[in-house]
Amino acid sequence: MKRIADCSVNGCSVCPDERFSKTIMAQSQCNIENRLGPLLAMIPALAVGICFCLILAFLLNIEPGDMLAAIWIGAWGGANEAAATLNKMTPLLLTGLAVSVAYQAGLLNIGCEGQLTLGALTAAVFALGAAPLPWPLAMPLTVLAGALVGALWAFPAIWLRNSRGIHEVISTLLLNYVAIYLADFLVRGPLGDGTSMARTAEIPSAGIWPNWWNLGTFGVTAAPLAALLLSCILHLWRYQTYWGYEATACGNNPVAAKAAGIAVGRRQAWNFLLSGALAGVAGALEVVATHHRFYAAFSPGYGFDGITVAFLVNNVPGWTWLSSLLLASLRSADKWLQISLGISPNTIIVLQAVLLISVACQAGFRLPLSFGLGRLLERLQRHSNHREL
Amino acid sequence: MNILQLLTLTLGKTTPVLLACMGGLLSELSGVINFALEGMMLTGAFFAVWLTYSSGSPWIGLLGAAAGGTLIGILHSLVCLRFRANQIVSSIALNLLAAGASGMLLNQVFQVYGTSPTVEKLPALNQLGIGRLPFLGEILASGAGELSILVPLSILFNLALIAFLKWSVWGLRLKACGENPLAAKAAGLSVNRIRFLAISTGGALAGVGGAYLAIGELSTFVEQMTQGRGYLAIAALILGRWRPFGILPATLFFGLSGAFSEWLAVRWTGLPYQLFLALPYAVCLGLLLFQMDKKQPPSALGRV
Amino acid sequence: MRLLVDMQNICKRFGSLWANRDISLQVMPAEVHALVGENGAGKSTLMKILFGLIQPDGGSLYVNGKPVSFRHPREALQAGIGMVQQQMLIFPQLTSVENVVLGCEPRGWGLFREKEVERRLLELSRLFGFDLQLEAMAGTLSFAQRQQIELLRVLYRGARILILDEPTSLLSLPEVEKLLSLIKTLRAQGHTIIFISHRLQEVFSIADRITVLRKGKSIGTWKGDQISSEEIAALIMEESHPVSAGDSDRIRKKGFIQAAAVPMRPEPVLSLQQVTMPSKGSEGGLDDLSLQVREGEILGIGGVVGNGQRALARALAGLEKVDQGRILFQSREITGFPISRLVQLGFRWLPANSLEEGALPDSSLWENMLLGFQRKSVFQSWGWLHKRKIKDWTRQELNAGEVVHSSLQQSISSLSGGNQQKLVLSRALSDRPKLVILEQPGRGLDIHAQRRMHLKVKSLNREGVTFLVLSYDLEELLALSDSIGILYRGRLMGLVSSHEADRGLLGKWMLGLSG
Repeated sequence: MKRIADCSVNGCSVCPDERFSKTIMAQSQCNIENRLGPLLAMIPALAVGICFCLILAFLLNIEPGDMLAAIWIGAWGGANEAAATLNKMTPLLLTGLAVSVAYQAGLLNIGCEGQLTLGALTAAVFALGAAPLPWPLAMPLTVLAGALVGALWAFPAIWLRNSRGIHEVISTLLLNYVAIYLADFLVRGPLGDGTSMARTAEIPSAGIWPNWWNLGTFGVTAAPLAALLLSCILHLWRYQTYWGYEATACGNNPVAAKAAGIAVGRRQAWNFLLSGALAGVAGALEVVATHHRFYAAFSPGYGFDGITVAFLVNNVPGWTWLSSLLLASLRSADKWLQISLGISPNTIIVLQAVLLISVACQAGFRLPLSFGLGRLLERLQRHSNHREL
Repeated sequence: MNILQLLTLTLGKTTPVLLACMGGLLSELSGVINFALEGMMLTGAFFAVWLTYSSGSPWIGLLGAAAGGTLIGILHSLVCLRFRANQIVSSIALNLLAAGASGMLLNQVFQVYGTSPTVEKLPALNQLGIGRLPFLGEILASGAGELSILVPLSILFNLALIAFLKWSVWGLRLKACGENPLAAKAAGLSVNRIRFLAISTGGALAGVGGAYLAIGELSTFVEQMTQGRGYLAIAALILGRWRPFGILPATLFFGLSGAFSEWLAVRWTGLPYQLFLALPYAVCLGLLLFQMDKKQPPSALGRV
Repeated sequence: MRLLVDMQNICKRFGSLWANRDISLQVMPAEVHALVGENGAGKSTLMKILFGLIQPDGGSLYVNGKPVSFRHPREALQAGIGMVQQQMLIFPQLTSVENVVLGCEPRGWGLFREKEVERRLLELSRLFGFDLQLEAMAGTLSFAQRQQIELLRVLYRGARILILDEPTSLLSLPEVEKLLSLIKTLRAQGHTIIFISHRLQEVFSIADRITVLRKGKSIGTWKGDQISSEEIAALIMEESHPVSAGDSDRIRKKGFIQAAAVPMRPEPVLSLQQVTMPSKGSEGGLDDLSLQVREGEILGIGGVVGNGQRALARALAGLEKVDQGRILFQSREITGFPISRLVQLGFRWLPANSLEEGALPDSSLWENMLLGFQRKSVFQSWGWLHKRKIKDWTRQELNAGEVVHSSLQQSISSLSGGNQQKLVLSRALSDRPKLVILEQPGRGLDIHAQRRMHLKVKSLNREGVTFLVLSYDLEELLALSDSIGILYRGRLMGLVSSHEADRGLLGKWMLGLSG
């Protein structure tokens, strides 16, 4: 919430309290802002992203059209590519949900990378160990195991925050590194498949998630559907239940939430653990649906992508599918960009960073934007009201 | 490995974290959260190698590293001060940007992936011709001579920073901005300008930290070579209670834990090497866990 | 004798409000000049104009006979005028020396010449009897010492005219003594002090001349020995004749609600016993406060800002723990109870800054209305919120509370300040509360809205709800409450039934004079 400097009417009889201050934010945030807020966040960011691509194309002496076309072709050009993109949507959607769930309560979970990795490893190990179980039982339990470990890995960070005041960003980042080395050690050692290939054995076919759409050679697994289902559930949870309501209140104004009797610390902690669990699920689904085993350096940065995914749609679970689809497309396209235009795959990461920075900057001018839109709509509404009378 | 070797190794591991930590200190003392040290270091590392390659002199590379870090600092200032974005999200985004951009430029400039071609390093201590001095000569001969010149330079920088913050007028004004920007403004200071300068200079320092990794220790750029040292630097900042005195022992501790883990790795070959790689981060977490009182950051940290 | 400061016909307006209307003020050299008046009389505004923080809309200003116009406090400081405001602008983790000198540090080669400053500050301290530890961090100092930093700040910069805005509001009695003797020393050294205060005893102990402001106008200036504190109190509160008991009736008949006879049971439903709380920020604390609220009563607590009202509200709302003392509700001890328990017991609280402390700024109207009620079985089952019911209820409450809105979905920040207040108020009054603590309920509301709010409070009161109304506005308290108590320095100066309340007496209590 922004404030103008303290109102200069100190001591006037209307507002005798010396600390009266005005708020400028959202004098006109209205109905439309609430519903389409996520898109309001995304569109300017996309515009900046496209500008960036154009500038880059110019600098590299490539036709800008070629570049954008290459991204499209790389992501959706053929059946195989489309299937790969849709499959990639799963971990991105889930890490995006993880970040948004945490941010809803006012916290930043940057540790999705580590939580995802350990969740994946756990899932692989569990699937191997749960071979005798029938698949209707084994599959959900595997994912649940991944979720639990993800939540477990998020726990130290929120505990440090609540008891020692350490910012969760630092602790989750450090935990990321510990997780990656831990997983690395385990997969090369006791949990590996015995070869020197730093991976676990392949999970039994009973544990593998089936394809629901035989697109391309490998098809699209049921995992994106599961992720979409989760996002719907989370959306409902956030907007339709009182737990979601309380968590949003904590993130919005912890002082008022506390004064209303909400246990702010506890609510935030639960959200944070849920966030870790979602990242764990992301890892688990990657194992059981896509890769069928765990290997070293499992995540190509999905944990950090989740941040962009979440913020591009203003942390609304119901819209996260859109930004995750976008980022999945970008990720899929990087190989084709390399082959066809000779652009390093790292360019996609730069593009992502540009998108995230644009979204972050919008705090500055989304307000005037929604202010203007809001005023316009208010006028339209009033006009239509008058006409009815 | 004897004590001297351990000390040498420690100093070597401390230097990049110390430089980055100093950069973070400047920024946070002025009141702006800066988690982008990782990105500043990485950018510095890349620019160091790039400019050394193009110009043939590692000193130009060093300047380039400072420039690269400063660039990230300028971006952070712009996003946080002008656009009032969430300072942490901005930091994360810049880290991402640096990671991607360094990889991208690595490919563009050198047409390779992963590792750049080797370039000339900055001179090591035993190349400076001071080996003939009586006491120093012995120390240098026993391994400490391998250390880059940046090691003593970083300690000098730290001393200079301590002096700056403690004794100079502008150091005082910088701290004032981080304590109470409204009061600072009332006293006639231009808060945003001071913050901008602090963040940019901090970026330069962190960039030099990255230069150490690229042209001080190795002599090449490897993708993601910072490996989380930027985050260790932030933890050191917290443990050092945001004091220029405090960050030296905090970073030394991390350096020591890194050196120790390497030493242990050689001796206890039975244990997995990942344990030793993870040790500094685990130690860091442990230290954060066991500090008893809540540290006092600058009073207005994070408030624009 | 030549005038030192001559402010002539100063006018200043904020929106439609005249903070200063044609005020003239003359200050002599080496005198202590007190500026007194109620909240909102225009004292701070006038002094801010003198200090260059605000520009006047009309009038002229002369210092030492020369016409001046200050566009920034820097210019005022150059002319030798310094101001110590109520909100102290200090740097918590810097030392006292650094705090004093920031912005005009003496330097050589970029280095801070600390020794020079220390020498000068020690000189000043010795001269005026400060007991400031120069090396201590400002955040660890007491209010009195922080105030010394602020004083040193202006003295160091060579100010000869010192403006002090409510300097004693957060000081303990011995500290006040020290400050007053310091002011005497400053005067003896040739400084001129203008100070704003509502504490008449202090004013009378040192002021040479006293100027009374009321509602933006200057009523007059008197020599300290020419007038008594009772007369000053009367001048501040009412027309220039002393107030009689009949006046409270006159106020009531002005159109405010006549209290219907409400049967009040004599047992106290809420009782505070010797409650002590430390002062926090710019708010005073509570000092051995004992208070009883009878069931079915509307108790009004008045006083000037900074005398403990906020602390009382926060203690009762459960946000802060008291240092000493007990709080009893229906004879059961509730000291230190968590907020959720208090809410269950039927406590409701309307905070003073309703938007900052009681609302969710980014959320819609119905979400704000729901705050605190989200777990009620009528609004949710097994966690699922019944949005239609909630929205219907919100619509009902908003209409009853006359909150002007266009849609339930709109963000609360898009409502006007008054409507935001009305929303939070409706929420506080809903759902059969037992005890409602209203802080500044009328703030931001126009006359009609206030009237309707009073009606609602009275009707709820008839159904048996007990109210504790904390307000800085005496009129509001007189119109609304059954009994009125006045807080001064965290203590209860007195408690009277509002039928018998003498406005003059209440005013005197607010100014620290007893009986």
